[in-house]
Amino acid sequence: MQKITISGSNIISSLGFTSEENFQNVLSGQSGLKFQSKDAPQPLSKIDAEIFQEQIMGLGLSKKLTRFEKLCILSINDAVSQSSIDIKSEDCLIILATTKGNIGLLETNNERSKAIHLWESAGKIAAYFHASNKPLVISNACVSSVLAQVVAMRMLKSKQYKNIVVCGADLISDFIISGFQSFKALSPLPCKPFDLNRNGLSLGEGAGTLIFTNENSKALFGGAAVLAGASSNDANHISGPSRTGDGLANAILSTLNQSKIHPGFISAHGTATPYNDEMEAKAIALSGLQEVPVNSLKSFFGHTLGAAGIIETIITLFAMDKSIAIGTLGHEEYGVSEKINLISKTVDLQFNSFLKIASGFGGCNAAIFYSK
Amino acid sequence: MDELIQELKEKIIAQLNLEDIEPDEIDASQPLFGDGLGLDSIDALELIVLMERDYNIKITDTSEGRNIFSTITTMAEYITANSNRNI
Amino acid sequence: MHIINYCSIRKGKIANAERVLFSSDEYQLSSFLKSYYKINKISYPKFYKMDAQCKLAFIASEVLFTDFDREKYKDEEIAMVFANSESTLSTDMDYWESAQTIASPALFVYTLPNIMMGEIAIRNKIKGENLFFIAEDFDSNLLLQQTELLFQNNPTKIVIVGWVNYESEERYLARLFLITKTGDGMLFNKENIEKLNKD
Repeated sequence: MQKITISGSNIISSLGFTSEENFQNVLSGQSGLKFQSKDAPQPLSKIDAEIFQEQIMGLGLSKKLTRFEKLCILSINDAVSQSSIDIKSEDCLIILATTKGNIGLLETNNERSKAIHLWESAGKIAAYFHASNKPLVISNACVSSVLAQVVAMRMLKSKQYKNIVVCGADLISDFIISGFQSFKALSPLPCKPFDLNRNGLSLGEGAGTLIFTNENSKALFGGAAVLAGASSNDANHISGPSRTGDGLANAILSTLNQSKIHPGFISAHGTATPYNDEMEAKAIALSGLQEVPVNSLKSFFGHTLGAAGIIETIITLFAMDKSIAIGTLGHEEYGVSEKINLISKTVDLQFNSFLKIASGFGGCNAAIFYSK
Repeated sequence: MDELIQELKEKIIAQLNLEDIEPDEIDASQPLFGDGLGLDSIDALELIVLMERDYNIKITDTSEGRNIFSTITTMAEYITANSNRNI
Repeated sequence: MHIINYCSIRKGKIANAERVLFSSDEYQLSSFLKSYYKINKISYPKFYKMDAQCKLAFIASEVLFTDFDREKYKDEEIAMVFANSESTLSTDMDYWESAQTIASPALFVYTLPNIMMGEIAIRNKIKGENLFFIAEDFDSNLLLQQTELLFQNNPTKIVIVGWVNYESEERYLARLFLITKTGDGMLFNKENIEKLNKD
């Protein structure tokens, strides 16, 4: 069967404006989480406003576009520039994955405007690239951009398109910050995934783009291919993670059932809330993957919501290609009841496949599997 | 105290949308969570909102909340001991 | 793909297949749904905690599952593909208003469109695939294509396909379809979806 490979990628985050720059900063152990002012109650991982502005000027983007749309366009544009795909072609589809998109617009004007709708944003982004097809929008809480990869894989396997551009993006806004604060979910210090002293997540913003192709074009990341993926629901609680991990385990097992092989590495969701990390470790154990090396990248980027899944996938694609296991920054003392093989310090490690997992509000879980 | 307990029952029903429950059906000493009223983690967070908005009491530590929100009586006792509002 | 059952809620009317189950001159969605809930003696206190859009999805799913042999399928075999146009804009605005004084976590959790699938999943113990799309208008191509893709992957045997959109107490629409891969009954195709949508 034709392999589905990657022909372009981009990450825009606090750690840079290309995938390569982000990966290099992660490799050097740099965190994008910063206290934005002296009395800030928690650190945030924010995109550098000046460089962002320069990049927008560079592309000559219309002032009518929102910051969210500009971010998506910058990210897609960089990914497309590495690839030989024709984004205007009828064989190409754009999928936008986001949790809250333009929600920040409510803060200046709390009314029902067309501009706030996600299909409107996706339409503007597609129009910028003169795309032939109406873009798809997936909004499925914090699993959005893992799910978008699963959907892209399925559509390519059924030969509906030759190329699919998946962009996952979310911005930090007072709407988002206040919401997580109301859930008492924010850590006052940079988050500490799977740590004994973890006490909440840190928020981030960013975008990630992957171009999936089933053509025989130039394949990035040593020819890594997407093999399998699935989603599931906990059917337990609308905000609290399952206590048993069985929901996430269902998504993992369904994915492994398709891939037929066990992963050599796992990029966990690892938000560093007490319940998420506990649930995730249980799910990994339930799936029989206790021995597989695991990390969380949340302490580098913060939790970038709908963008998290794809940003973390891209970093792990780089890591697999360069035979490196990225350590879980900020992790000091193991602190979940189930034993998993958590990687705390960055080390050389060869692995030929990996699983990216995510979970979110609404009890949703998703998993995607890549192999060399 | 009885007045405060009655007031709390009404406020909790309104805040948590417990529409099918009447104030008199709630025993002030029955557990709010678990088997009692069956409240969940979002309800606990909404009780924190109620305490701040109506009694000017800020609860920052959710584990502290667990003891305060054990029953309506414990809530009333905590409010009486801590409220800046004159009851 | 075949339609086992379908239902709609719009303009003060709840319809199951071709039958109008409940109608009211009262267009206001919240009181209308509450009447249906009470008359049908649905006992599910969580209903009252939901935002209007989730109540709409919830009642529609209750109608859709009437006479459905749920026990025939494993929890993982039932999937959901939902879409709408508004995402959760009404609740977003309510939440943001609350945040001006004290932000309400009970409102914040409903600022995610996929929560409606979570509510239906909890009520009916559904643990299969779930996907939420945002589209400008009811998009039969999208829903058909995604349902078909789900059936190509084990273990999905049943898909609940839904369009649940809440703009205001007067403007709302829920359309739910219960789909099997094989069997008999009306074909789940573009022509039939569009025919049913005229009801």
